[in-house]
Amino acid sequence: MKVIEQEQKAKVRYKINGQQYETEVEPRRLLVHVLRELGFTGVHIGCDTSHCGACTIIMDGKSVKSCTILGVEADGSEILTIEGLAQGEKLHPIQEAFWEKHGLQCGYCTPGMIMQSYWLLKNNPNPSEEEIKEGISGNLCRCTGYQNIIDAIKLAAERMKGQ
Amino acid sequence: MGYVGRPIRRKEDPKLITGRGRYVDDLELPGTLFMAIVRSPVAHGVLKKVDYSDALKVPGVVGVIAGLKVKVDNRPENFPMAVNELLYVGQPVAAVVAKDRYSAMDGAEAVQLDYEELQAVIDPEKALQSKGVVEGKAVAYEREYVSGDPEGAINSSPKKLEMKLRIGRVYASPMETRGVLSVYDGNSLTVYASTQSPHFMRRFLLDAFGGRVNNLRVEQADTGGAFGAKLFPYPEDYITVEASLRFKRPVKWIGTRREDFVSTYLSRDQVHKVRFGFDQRGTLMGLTDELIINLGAASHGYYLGDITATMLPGPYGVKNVRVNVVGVHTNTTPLDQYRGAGRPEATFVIERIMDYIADEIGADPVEVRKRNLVRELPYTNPFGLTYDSGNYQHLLERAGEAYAELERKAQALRTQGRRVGVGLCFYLEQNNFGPWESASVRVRGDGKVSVIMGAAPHGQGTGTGVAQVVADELGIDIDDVEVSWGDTSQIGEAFGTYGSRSLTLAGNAALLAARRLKDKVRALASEIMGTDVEELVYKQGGVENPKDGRRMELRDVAKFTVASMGGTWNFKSDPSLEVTEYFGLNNYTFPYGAHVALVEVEDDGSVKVLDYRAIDDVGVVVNPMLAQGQVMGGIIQGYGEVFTEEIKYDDQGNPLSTDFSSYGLPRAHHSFRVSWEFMEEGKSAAPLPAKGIGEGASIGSLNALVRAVERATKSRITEVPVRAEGLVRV
Amino acid sequence: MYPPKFGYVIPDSLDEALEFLEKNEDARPLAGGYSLIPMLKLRLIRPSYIVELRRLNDLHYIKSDDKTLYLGALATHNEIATDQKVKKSVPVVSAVSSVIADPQIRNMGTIGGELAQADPVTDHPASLLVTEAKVKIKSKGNERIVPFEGFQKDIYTTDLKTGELIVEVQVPILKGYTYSYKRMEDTAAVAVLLRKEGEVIKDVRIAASLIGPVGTRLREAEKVLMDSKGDSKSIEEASKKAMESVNPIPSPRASAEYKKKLVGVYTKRALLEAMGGKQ
Repeated sequence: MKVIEQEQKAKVRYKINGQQYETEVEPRRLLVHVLRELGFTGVHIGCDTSHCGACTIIMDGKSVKSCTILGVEADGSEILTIEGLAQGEKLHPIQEAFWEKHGLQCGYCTPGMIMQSYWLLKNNPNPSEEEIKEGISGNLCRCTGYQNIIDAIKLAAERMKGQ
Repeated sequence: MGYVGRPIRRKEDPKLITGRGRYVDDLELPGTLFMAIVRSPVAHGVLKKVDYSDALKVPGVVGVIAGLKVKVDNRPENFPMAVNELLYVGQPVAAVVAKDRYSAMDGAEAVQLDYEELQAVIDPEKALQSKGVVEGKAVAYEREYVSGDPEGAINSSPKKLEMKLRIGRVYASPMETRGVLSVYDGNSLTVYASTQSPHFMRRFLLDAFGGRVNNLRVEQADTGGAFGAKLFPYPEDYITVEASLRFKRPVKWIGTRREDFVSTYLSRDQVHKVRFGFDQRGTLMGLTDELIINLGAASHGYYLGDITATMLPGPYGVKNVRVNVVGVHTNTTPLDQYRGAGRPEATFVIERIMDYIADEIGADPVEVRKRNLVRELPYTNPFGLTYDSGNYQHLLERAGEAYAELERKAQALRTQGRRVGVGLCFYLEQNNFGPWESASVRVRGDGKVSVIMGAAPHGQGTGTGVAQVVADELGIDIDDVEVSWGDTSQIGEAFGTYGSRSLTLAGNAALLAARRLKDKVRALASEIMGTDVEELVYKQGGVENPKDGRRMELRDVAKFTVASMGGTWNFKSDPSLEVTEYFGLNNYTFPYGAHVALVEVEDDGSVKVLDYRAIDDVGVVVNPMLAQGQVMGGIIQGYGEVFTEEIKYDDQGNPLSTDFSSYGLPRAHHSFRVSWEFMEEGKSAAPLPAKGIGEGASIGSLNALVRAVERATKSRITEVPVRAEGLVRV
Repeated sequence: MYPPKFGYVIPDSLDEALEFLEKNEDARPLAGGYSLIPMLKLRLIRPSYIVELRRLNDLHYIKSDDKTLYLGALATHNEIATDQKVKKSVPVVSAVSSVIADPQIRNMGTIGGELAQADPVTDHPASLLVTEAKVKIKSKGNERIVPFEGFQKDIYTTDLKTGELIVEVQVPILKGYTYSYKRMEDTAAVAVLLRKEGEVIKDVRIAASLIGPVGTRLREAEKVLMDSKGDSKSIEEASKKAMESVNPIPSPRASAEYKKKLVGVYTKRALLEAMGGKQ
């Protein structure tokens, strides 16, 4: 059993976007803050009640809200953030589709929305409109009215089929 | 080339889709401290003491600020902090500055407030009868607008009606909360902010701190939405700057969502008691309106009552109108603008009236509107607004076709026993607020064109629209045009982005600057080429002499000016290839349009939109993809305002809506398809004859949806939000 | 947004976790975290220690035999929703799991965490009440199995005592039943489980959740339908009984009265669908 007292910091390791990171965190520190402090500021914070999904990342293959996970709890995880999605300069098809379909305006919800779409398409490569709506129901967007986001996900799904 | 009019994908997007946007919380300087705000836990009270001795003992806490006072127009004495009077839940009382955000919050928790709670007033109509809960004044603002003889016209009308309408209180809900980073180096102050108007922010911060700093620069970080809520001075702006001056360290404040819900200025919240008269054929003869607007615990939102009043006649020709605007104080978060700002309220009221007239005389709602619509433009309305251009009748005819089509669909569904209805809203919008906007067009030494604009967009895509305009004017590739904004050190003065103004005002400023730039290029090129300037024409990104076919590219002219580091400048023309223009119009622009909705009300009271049509005439549409994005987003916001969203308080003034669930922000499964079309008949008087589309959809959507539900449920609806609760059928 | 200070415990075994929880009354176990961490962020609770459970693999499973489906406390909502065994043997549990909150929450949130938290706005109670599921609870050196009905006492209040953890949920596998689940998110939900012999309803179970304070079996409504043919009149009457037998708590966006009506609407819808034979 390992006990970390409240004033102590725990040493944690993550593999983020393919690279190893090691840092020290207070037990109470949220993963979203740890990631942002490591420089992954594309992981956004839009609420304090786990509703908005702006902080969505892929952790050990599953999309999760990084504001609702403790940094210490995620020790040893493999994490993918928006910063790790493109291959060098080559955008991921979902990123391309969001651009083409005008699936973003202010861009604040976009990283979380794209990461959730990534997970959705991994699990359901050919989603219906209703399945897309359900799939992004944990991600709020105030600008677009969602329709262009839905279209972007459809377009990305089509393009990813060929890959 | 012709970029204008085409759906060009956005120049703004590459960084935003890869996580490289730089929002204010992404910015950090060495030694940045974090600030947390202690807020009033009660809606009304006498503040006796703020004891922060324990907070100073919390590990990581650097200092505490309490009792800060700054005089700002239309704000109470207790601004930006409560000093002796608590006015609403969420009002700042103290600020704790610490080494990081967690310890700042620990410190804030340790601050003790000693206060005596007083009876709070929340309801605007009750506020009228109260003795005044904000500085002893119940009525914060009053103004009467009268034209013709409204009472006489109503009394002599064959038919009269009275009704009370209410528009609920809403929260703009940008996905990024407000935030500020203030950096003071002992001489200059730089403020990074999530804002719609860095230049305006600079002006109001200079008013407060100008005597204490030598230079003040505001830089707009990437801003995660605003919708009107990040425009006006906030307490936290002053407190953050004060903290950075006092502690001589960069200080950052980022609102949590819960804080944002209780501290960001809320909007709408109007009550209208209308009385109107009309004839047998549905012509509106006279109208009076007692308009109460709940300004909350400050008075700065008063102008929204004025906008609503002066736009109340809408696109209709009624002459006899009286509107009495009364702005009341209550113990709630202060009121200010949200997308549409006064026009959604005005449109909702006049369109409700049109529907009621139709019902009363048993006429088609399209026909009633047709009868009342202004036929000749320009037209000066009863309160002196001159509607500029377009063809309202033509657009209504088109909307009438859509209405008839959806009615036929509805008929078919009704025969299956489904509760469906169709609603129509014709709207007229007033745009182009804020007298002017600035833009500077500069050819850099490498030949690329850089445009700096005073508008401060934050999602609208104005940067792309302006790049289209400038690329067309200069005849160059759009990839060679970079548009930037948001930094007060880059362009002298400006206003920002609000009121659907940016593409019309900043776009025209950029267009005129590009035009003058071409003259500069010709003049300079003529000297370089040794040709008479009159012989040179600007064409396709360069100048040429049609007589001898000689040509010089823009790039070459620019390179020539910076080619050598030594020597002298031996030309009459100055070497600058930059032009700044400030552009204003001498009238507002008045876009207009119509929305038609087909909805189904289910047994559980939830409402499904089955079909939705929006038709707009906003003058020239520079980028239909961006315009459509504004329309679709605005319609879902309108849907939220009508069905899911509302800021509520209990009787003591405790906010009940403090997260996205209790507030009811629309989610993806609420969304529906919108088909949009546009006309370009009503052009503005500007060289680039656009009018603005940022807000039209949040204006046109309310009555379209409300009327559709009214028809589906065969009821009369006099307020938004329309609660599912009232529509349930067991 | 910034939790208060607490210590963090990573136990190597369930026994270690149980022992620590027993000795530290203010400690709180952390499963998926989707109920606990939001409360920490708003500083509504201040535990001395958080005891991590996620690495305790012996609580993370979905198994079944002929009669019972066994859901380890750490099985996530998404795992339950997508597991073929669950879909086949107890489809109502699968269906309910697939609509809880949102996908990210279903990816982390666990059935044990949901039941132990007893947040009034959760879905599972309806499906566990109609299936008459049981909860297996462990403490140091002790184990007990209790019916789910009655386990949740009130808002955020359960039968769990200091040092006890839910380790498993046992769901009876019922053959020949049809089901339906109807809901409005965060507001009201009704689950129906029904078995007919010929045209006659031989067993029917109806339960409501989301309305607060805790999920409820609606036995008065069930009685109306038992041994009937489920004609429209008896469905109407059952819906009315369902509506009358609940006592919801109001939320900012829905009054108690409205929630009652929704129970009526959804009981009717669910009965009609279940009668229609959704397996």
